[in-house]
Amino acid sequence: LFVSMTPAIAVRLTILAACLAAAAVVIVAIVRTPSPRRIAAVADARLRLEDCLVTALQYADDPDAVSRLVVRDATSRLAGGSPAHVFPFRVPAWIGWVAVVTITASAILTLTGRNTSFGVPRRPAASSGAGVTAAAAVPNGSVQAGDAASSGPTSRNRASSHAGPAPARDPGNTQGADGAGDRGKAPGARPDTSASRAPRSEDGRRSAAAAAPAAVTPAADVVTPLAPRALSASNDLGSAGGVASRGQTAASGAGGVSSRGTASGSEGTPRTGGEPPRDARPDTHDARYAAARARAEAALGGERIPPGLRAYLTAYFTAINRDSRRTER
Amino acid sequence: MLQESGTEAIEADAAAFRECFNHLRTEIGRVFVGQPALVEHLLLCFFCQGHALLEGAPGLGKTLLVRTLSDALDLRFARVQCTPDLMPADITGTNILAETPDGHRQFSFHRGPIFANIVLADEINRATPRTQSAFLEAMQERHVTVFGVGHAIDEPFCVFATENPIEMEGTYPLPEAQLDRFFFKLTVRIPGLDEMAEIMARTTGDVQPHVTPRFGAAAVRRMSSLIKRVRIADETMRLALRLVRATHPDTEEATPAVKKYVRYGASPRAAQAIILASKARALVAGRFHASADDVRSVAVPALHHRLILNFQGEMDQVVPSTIVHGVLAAVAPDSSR
Repeated sequence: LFVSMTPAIAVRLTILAACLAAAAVVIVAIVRTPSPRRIAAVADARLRLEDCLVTALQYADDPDAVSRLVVRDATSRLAGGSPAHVFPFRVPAWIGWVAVVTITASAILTLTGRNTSFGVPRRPAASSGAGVTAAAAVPNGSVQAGDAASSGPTSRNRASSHAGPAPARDPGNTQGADGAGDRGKAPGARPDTSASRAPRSEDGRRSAAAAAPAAVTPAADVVTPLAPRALSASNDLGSAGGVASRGQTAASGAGGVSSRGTASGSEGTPRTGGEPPRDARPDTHDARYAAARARAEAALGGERIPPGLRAYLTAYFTAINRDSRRTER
Repeated sequence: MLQESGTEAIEADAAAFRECFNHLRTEIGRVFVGQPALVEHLLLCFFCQGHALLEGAPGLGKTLLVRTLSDALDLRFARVQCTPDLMPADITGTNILAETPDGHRQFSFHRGPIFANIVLADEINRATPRTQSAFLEAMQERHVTVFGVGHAIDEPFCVFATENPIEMEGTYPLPEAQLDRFFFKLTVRIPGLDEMAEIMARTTGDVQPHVTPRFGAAAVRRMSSLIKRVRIADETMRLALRLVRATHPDTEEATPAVKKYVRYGASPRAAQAIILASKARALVAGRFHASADDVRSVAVPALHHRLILNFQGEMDQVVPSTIVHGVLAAVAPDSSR
């Protein structure tokens, strides 16, 4: 439940639970608060005042001389005592269990929340952004591509560590976006992509990998366990994303998309994994797009996917749609 | 300033009361050996202006105890030895034909022993019910009516009646209505060995104990009025009331023993006695408020003679004080507030 819960709902539920708890505490405190006479009786019993306080409380407003003597006697008897002595604070036995339950629940929520970042599951070995990362395309874990390749904001800082184990695929892709600069931002990239914040390479230009987080890599480690079929559908569109960027910008290094036409001269670099070159594939973008989208939709409809991831996938397919790009342009 | 003087006067009266009480305890202790609880209850009853029924075997010092009390306070004392032929007029007094100094003869009221401050009705259960009823009016109304004319009895006025629980032949047990008039019923127990030795040493030697009279009727009246000003909390008062209610077998506070052995419980007069005696005890302790401990300490002498046992209780020879002790253990302080 918590995994599939959006952060807004989770925050609201937390606030609601806190309010309910506070209200319950207030109600219980009001209900269980003893009357002043009862408190006086308890104090009389504990201090062995022989009903002095109760009597004084009853006759506190009586102007009679004897009543004032009673009040004075009670005051003098209470002068030497302290409330902490009369009513010492004792921690109930059950408070320990409450603490254990609270800590356990907090730990569970914390552990659950680590895998959920605004509804997008995070993988320890892969960047977020529906498993799409430019770092996956970095062959040697170079910083240029990896440290800013993740498209999800929460995984951005971990991109460098993810870059290491990422399979080396195409060395040329690592610098495939050289010269692209800000232009290398792929159209399909999420608006929140870290491309603009990606560190620059030695020549001062931004890494193409960082500029193309939306490009989907077929690497296996980017597939989220929560939506394998949906992500595999999107992964299949890796080339589609690449196609989308191809000819417009050079930001196509990530995701195994060849960076044809880039300034870095990576064109013609052989791809890894035996994947055929993009030109060799049957290139009917619309058909592939439609097929992939259909598969994604089917997967979305058939699997339990966090709403955040669902929205992300939807945005992704919308972004890589050629028609929508035309509209934006 | 006026209020301060009021509190100071009350504190002075309270101090005088404590002094008087301690004086009586000391003076009685010179003559009457042991049984401090009995002495305390007797003094509480006296200062509350109640009447006490002393029950005990002959020779235990009942008469001596009352007599010493009277002597120590410099009060008028009268003793009436009740017999079956004792007439009411012997108690209350009667009109006699007397000759005036000028030679005329007219009826004049001759006061009986009931007009003393402390009256000892010795073996009251030997008097006829008619004579007992003469005591009844005097004890309750604090005046007597002779030939249609009422005569007030001076205060302080207390009747201490004695009873012999052993020899019941030829006696007229006091009816319940008259028993209820007694503030306390005090049981004089047989002294222990050490106490008896002390009694022998005091009474068989050549030195007789002497009681010093102090205070007087006016001081006692002032002290009695001060007792009624002592405060009592509602919780404490409710404790006394619940104790009284618990002696009734048909109430929810009744203990199993009460339901089994008691035919009728204590009257509201018992609650009056408990609360008043509690106030007096609080004043003795230097407090101006009665406590639950005060109530519990005076509950037995105030309640046990007011319980009327049923046939089962009579058959099992149940002691009423045992039932009262059970009631005291069963009734908890009021925590409803």
